[in-house]
Amino acid sequence: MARGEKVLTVEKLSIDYISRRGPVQAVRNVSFDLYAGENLCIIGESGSGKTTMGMSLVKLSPPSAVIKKGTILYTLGGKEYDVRSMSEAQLRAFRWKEVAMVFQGALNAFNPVIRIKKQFLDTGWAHNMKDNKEILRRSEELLRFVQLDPKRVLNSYQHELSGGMKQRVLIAMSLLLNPKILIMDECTSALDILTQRTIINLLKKIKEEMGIAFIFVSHDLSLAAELADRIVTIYAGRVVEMGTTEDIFKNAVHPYTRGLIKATPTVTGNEEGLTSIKGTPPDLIRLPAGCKFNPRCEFPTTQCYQEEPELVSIGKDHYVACLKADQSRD
Amino acid sequence: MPAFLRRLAKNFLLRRLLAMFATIFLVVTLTFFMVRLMPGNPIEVYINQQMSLTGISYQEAQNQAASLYNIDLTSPIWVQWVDYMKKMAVGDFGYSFSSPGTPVIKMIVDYLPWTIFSVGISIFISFILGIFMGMYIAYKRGGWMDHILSSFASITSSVPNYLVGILLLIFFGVQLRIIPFSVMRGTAPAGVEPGFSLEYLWGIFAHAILPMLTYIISTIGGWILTMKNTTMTTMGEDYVLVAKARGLKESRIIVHYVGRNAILPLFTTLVMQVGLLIGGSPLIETIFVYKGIGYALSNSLAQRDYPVMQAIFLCITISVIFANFAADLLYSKLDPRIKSNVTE
Amino acid sequence: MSLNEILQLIRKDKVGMVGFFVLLGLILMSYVGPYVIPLDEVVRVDRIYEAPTLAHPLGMDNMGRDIFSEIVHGGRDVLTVAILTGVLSTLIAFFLGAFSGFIGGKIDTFIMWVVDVFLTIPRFPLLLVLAAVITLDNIYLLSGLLAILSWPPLARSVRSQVLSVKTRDYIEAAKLLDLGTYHIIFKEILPNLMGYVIINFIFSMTAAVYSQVGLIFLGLVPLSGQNWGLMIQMAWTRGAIFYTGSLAYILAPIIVIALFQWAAIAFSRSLETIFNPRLRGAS
Repeated sequence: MARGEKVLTVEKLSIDYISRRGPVQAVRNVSFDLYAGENLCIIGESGSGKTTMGMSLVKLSPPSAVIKKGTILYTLGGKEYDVRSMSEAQLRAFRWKEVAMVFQGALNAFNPVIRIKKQFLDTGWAHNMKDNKEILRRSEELLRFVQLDPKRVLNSYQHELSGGMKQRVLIAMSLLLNPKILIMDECTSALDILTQRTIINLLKKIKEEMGIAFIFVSHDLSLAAELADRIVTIYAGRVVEMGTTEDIFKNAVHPYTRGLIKATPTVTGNEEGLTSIKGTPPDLIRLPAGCKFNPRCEFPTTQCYQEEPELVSIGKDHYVACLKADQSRD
Repeated sequence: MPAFLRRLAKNFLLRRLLAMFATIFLVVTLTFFMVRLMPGNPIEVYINQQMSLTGISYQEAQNQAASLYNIDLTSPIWVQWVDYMKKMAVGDFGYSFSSPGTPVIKMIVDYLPWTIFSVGISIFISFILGIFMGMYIAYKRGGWMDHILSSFASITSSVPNYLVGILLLIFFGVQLRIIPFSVMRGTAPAGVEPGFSLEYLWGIFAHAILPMLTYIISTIGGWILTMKNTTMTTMGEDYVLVAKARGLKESRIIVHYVGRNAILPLFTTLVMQVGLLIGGSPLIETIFVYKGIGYALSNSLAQRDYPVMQAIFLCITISVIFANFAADLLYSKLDPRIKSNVTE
Repeated sequence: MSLNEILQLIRKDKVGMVGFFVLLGLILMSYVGPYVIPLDEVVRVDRIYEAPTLAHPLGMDNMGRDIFSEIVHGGRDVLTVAILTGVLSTLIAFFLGAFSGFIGGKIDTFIMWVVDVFLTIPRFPLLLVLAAVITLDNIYLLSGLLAILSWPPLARSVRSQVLSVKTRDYIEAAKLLDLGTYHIIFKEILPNLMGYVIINFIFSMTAAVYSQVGLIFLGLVPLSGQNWGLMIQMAWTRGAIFYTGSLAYILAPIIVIALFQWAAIAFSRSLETIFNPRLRGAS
C-alpha cells in the first residue's frame, strides 16, 4: 500500500518493572515506526511485555514500570511531540485527542455509577468541547456507526450492557475526538467468536472510512492476518521479527514467528497441521543467556547460547533477530 | 398474580418498607415476651414488691401493675399481646415506675431528640472528614501525613468509645480545665429561652460538644482507614485507567471516578455506625450527664423502671431501623446497580 | 498457604508484629502474672493515691493498695470472657453459616432472616435490657449471653464465603466424587475459611471486651473479684477522675483495655492483609 508519512517513532525503548525479586525486563530495546493510516500489529504471548509497551505509548504505565531508556516521538499535524518529556497538562490534552486507546479491560472500562452519556460528555469536556448538543450528536453518530442504538446506550449504565456492546461503545468513544492513532490492546480476546467477528468487521470499516493509524496489540495472529499491514513479533520483551503481513505469513524467518503461525488455525487452514510451541514463556527477571528463545528453539547452535542476535534487515521492510536467519530462510 | 401487583412486589422501595415494618413488628413482639416470660419477670417482681412493701392484696398489686404496664394481666397471653401491640401502635407506652404519673411517651419525646441531634451531627462530621482524610492519604500514601493519620486512626478506632469519653473528661475537663464540664451537664443552657436565638443554639452545641467529640474521635479512624483501602482498590480499576487515557482532568477523576466508587462500600459501615453509636449512647451520655435517650435508659436500668426501659429500648431499635432504611435508600440512589439487582 | 509463609508475612508487617506481641504479653500477664505477683490487699490509710515509685510502678489506689498488682490480677476474667465469647460465637456462627449456605432453600432464607433481624437490633441496649432481667453474676453466663448476641455478622460472612467456595471447581469435583457434606465442609471449605474465621474470632473478642466493660461500668453485672472493668467503675464512682493524684488509678485500667483492643485489631488487620492478597499488593 501507499505509505503515508511517519506518525510515530519508537526508538530503543526499554522498560523495567520493579519487583521484590528484582527488575522485570518487560520491554527491551524495542524500535519500530508507524505510518499514517497504517495498521501495525504487535504480536506476542501473554506476559511478553506488549501491554506494558502499549501503555507506555501514552505514558500510562503503572508507577512500578520505569522507562529505562528510549524515545517515543509523535509527528502529528506537522508538530513533534516527545511523550517522555511532556508535562501532565500536555499529556492530558494529547491523550484521546491525538492517540486514543482501547484497552484489554474494556469490559470494566466504564465508571459503573455514571451513565454512558455522561462519560461521553466527560470526554468531550476534557478536550474543550463546550457544546453538549454537539458532543451528543457526534456520540450518537458514532454509536450508530458501531451498530448500536444510541438512545438506549447513552441512557444506560455499564452493567446494563453486554461485553460486546461495551467494547463497541468504547470504540465509538475512542473515535469521538477524531484521533490520528488508535491503540487497541487485546480488543477481542474476552469476547465470544460471533462478537469478535462483529468487532473485526467494524475495525475494517473504520480503517476504510476514517484513515486512522492503528496499533493492535494481540496474541492472536489470525487477527493480524485480517487487519494488519505490518506485523511485529515480540519475544521476551524484544522485537524478534518485523515485516509486512505478506513477509510474515509467507516468509517468516524467526523460529518463534514460524511457531506462532503453525499454532494459528485460520492461517494454516487445516486443523491437523496445528502444533503449539513447546516450552513456556521465559522468566523476565532471569532471562537465559544468549538468544532468549534458545530454550524453546528446535535447532539452537552453540552460538545461540552465547550471543543475543541484533535485529537486522533481510528484505525491503523485513527485519529479523536470529543468528541463523540465513539458513532458516526457505 | 396481576401485572400491577407483580410490579409492586418488585418495587425496591416498597420491599424495603415492608421489611422495615416486619422487623419493627417482630422487635415489639420480642420485647413483649421478654418482659412477660423471662425468668425474672419484672411484672411478678413488681407485684411481689408492692405486696410486701405496702401489705396490699395480690389483686390490688396486680391492678397497679396492670395500670403501669397498660396490660390486663388476667386475660390470656395472646389477648394481652394483641392489646399491647395496639397500644404500641398509637405510642401508648404506659407510665414510669420511678416518677409515677409521667407517661413514658413524654420522657421519650423529651430525651430522644437530643441523642438524634448529637449522634446525627457527629456521624455527619466524622464521615465527611474521614472520607476526605482517607482519600488524601490514599493519594499520598507513604508520606508523613499517611503515617500520622493511619496511626491515629488505628488507635482511636480500636479504643472503646466510652473510654475515649472518660479520657476526654479527665484531660480537657479536669486536668487542663479547658472545658467547664460541670456547667455543661444536661443538654441545654439553663435560663435561656429555647428557640432559634444564637445564644440558645450556641448553648446546645456547647453542651453537646464532649459527647460529639467522643463520637467523632472514636468513629473517624474507621472512616479514614476504610476509605484509604477502598480508594486504593478503586484507583487500580480499569475505568480509572481508561479515564486517564481519555485525558480527563485529575480533579474530575478523583471526585467522580475514584471518589464516588470508593465511597459506596462505606455505606454498609455507615448503617452499622448508626446502630453502634446510638447503642453506645447509654455509656457516653452517662459519662457526660447528657440528657439524651441513652442517659434515660441507663437511669431506668439503675432504678429497674421496666416500662421506661422497655419503651426506650424499642425507641432506640426503631431509630436504628429507620436509620438503616434511610442509608439503604441513599445507597440505592448512589449505586445504580442496586435497583436492577432487585428486579432481575 | 503454609504456616511458614504466614510467619514470613507477619514479620514484614511491623504494626501487626507489635500487636501480636502486646497481645501475647497481656495474655501472659493475666494468666501467669497472678502466680508471680501476689495481689496487694492491705489497706493503708496513710498511702492513699500515693504517686508511682519503683516498688509500686503505678502508685496506690483509693485504699492505699498497689495498683500494679490489681492490674495483673484484673485481666484474667476480662480475657476469659473475651476468649470464651470468641470461641462460642465463632462456633455458632460457623455452624449456622456453613449449614445455611450449604443447605440453601427455605431454611437458608429463614436463618438469614433471623440474622438480618439480629443485625438491626442494636446489641448493646439489648444487652442492657437483658442484664436487667437476668442476673449476670458469673463470667460464664456473661460469655454465653455475649456469644448469643454476637454470632450473626460472622454467620452471614461464613455463609457468603461458603456460597462462593461452593461453586468453585474443586467442590463440584468433591460432590461428583460423592464425598459427603461432612467431608466437604471440614476438608474442603474449612481450610479456605480459616483466615476469615480467625479474624472474626478476634473481632468478636474485642466486641466482648467493649460490651462487658460497658456493662460493668454501668453497674449492671454484679461480678466480684479483680477485674479491669470493675477498677474503672470503682475509680469513676469514687470520683477518682477529679484529683490529680488519683490519675494513675483510673488511667491504668483504661490503658490496658485500650492496649488490648488496639493490639487485637492491629494483629487482625495484618492477618487480613495476609489472607487477602488484593490488599497485600496495594499496601
